[in-house]
Amino acid sequence: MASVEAGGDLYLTFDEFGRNTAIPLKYLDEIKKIYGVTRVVPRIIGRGYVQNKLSVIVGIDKENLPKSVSCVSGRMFEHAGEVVVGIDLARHFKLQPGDQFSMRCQQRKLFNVVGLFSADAGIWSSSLIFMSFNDAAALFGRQGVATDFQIYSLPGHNSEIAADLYDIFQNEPYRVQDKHTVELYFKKGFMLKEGIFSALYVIAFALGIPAILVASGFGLSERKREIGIMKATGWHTLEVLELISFEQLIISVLGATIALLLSITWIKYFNGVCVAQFFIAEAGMLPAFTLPAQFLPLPFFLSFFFSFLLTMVGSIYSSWRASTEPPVVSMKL
Amino acid sequence: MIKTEGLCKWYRGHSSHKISAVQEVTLSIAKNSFVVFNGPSGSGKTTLLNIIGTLDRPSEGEVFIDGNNVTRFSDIALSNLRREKIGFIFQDFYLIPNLSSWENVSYPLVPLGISARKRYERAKTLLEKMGLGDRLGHTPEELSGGQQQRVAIARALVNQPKIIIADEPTSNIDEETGKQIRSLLKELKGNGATILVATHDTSFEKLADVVFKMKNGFI
Repeated sequence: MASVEAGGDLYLTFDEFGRNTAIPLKYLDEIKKIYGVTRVVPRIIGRGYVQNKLSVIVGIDKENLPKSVSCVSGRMFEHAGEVVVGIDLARHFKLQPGDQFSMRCQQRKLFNVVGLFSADAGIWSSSLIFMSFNDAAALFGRQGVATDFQIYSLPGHNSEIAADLYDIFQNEPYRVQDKHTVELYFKKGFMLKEGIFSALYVIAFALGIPAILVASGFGLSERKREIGIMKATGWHTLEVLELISFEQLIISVLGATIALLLSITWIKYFNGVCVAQFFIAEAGMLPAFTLPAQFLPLPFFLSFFFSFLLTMVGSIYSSWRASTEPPVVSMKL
Repeated sequence: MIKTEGLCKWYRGHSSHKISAVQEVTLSIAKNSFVVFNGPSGSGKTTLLNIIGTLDRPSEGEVFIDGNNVTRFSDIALSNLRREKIGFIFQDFYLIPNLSSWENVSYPLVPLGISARKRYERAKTLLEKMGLGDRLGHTPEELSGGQQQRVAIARALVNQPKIIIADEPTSNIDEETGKQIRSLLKELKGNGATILVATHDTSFEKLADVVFKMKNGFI
């Protein structure tokens, strides 16, 4: 969010098939001349692999970097081939200022690490690589275009600027979004990610606990004998199943509650160690950032539902089998 | 009261070989009689009693209880019959390990909708009669073999059944407890119950109105 807040007032890209696409740099000067525009920053944002680790590459000229960006070690890039690397990436490859590395997409090109960048706020920024706009253009082999333009404007001029942009791009498929819209997208995406993460996490536990019990045959033989005894002493099959269902209901509520408590403890106090990577691929065994998570009633109800379903599937059929067999068979195991 | 006609029970052994446990058993047992099934191990006593007590189904033949052909009864009808008329005493007690003595005794009353307090009172009365008034809250593993068998007998009696089926009731307990159990069964017969006992303990024969000798599944 910090990067959005410090970013431009308008974001301009081209639009193809409903997706953002690269915008030619030839429009840069014309846009700078629009009344109310104070600054236009072209950026290249792309993804690439350093060996097997996916990284986000940001190509932007040094003078256009947001003020919130600072190095924890070394300095900002100044010359061609110099990069600043996110702290997580640097730790992963044990990179220090003065080291060199290459990207998988262009292995002959060596980049010099001149600084390390730390970002507590974002998941993705910990694997960022900052470099100059021209280096990024060369890396991706796309000269003369940017992924977007950040347009900084005077307060209250956005609608007039948008009208001028319409005149400039009359026959071109362009897309302009203001900061507020970008913030909404960002928040929505982030919250969605949190919701999915916590839901999956709770459900995974809720499934895991009874699954272990069911898979390990917890109490199965004792239960079969007990059902035989019940039938021998006059219980009806339906009465047996009613009792078993009631027990499973209690087990499900307990399982879901334990799942919720475990998942809250694991995420809040252990930051999802070991399991976070199953839900967020880049997180790794020991996440270097605070995991986003929120716990809502829906995941709890889902976990209860799945827990109940699993325990019922695991027990009702076998209980029904045991109670419809002659009691002597169930009792003797 | 109890009648069997041409009762057979066989099992499939290895390579579909037929093993006969009970063969062509036809008998009649009068109401309020004490019947002993005597014979060596593997002679078919337990299997026969299981079939008569509706715990197992025969391969062939029919069982009549109070004039009803119970081999044609549905699962629910069989449960009702066991609930209302038959009490079982097993050689291995078959108590539920995680329940206390009184809970085991009152377990058959649970589906009848009787309140926990009344169930407790009824179980307590029976267990006191069995000399286990101080063992109400003990689980089976906290009881001796003889005590467990007395709990099992109390459970068999909790529904006041008219038929008591006892399979080797004294084989896993000491002589003194065995005497008590024989005496108790005699008392139950005196109260109007029909007693069927499978045993190789010859001391039961003195109590019996009828003794059926079994060998290789035949009477």
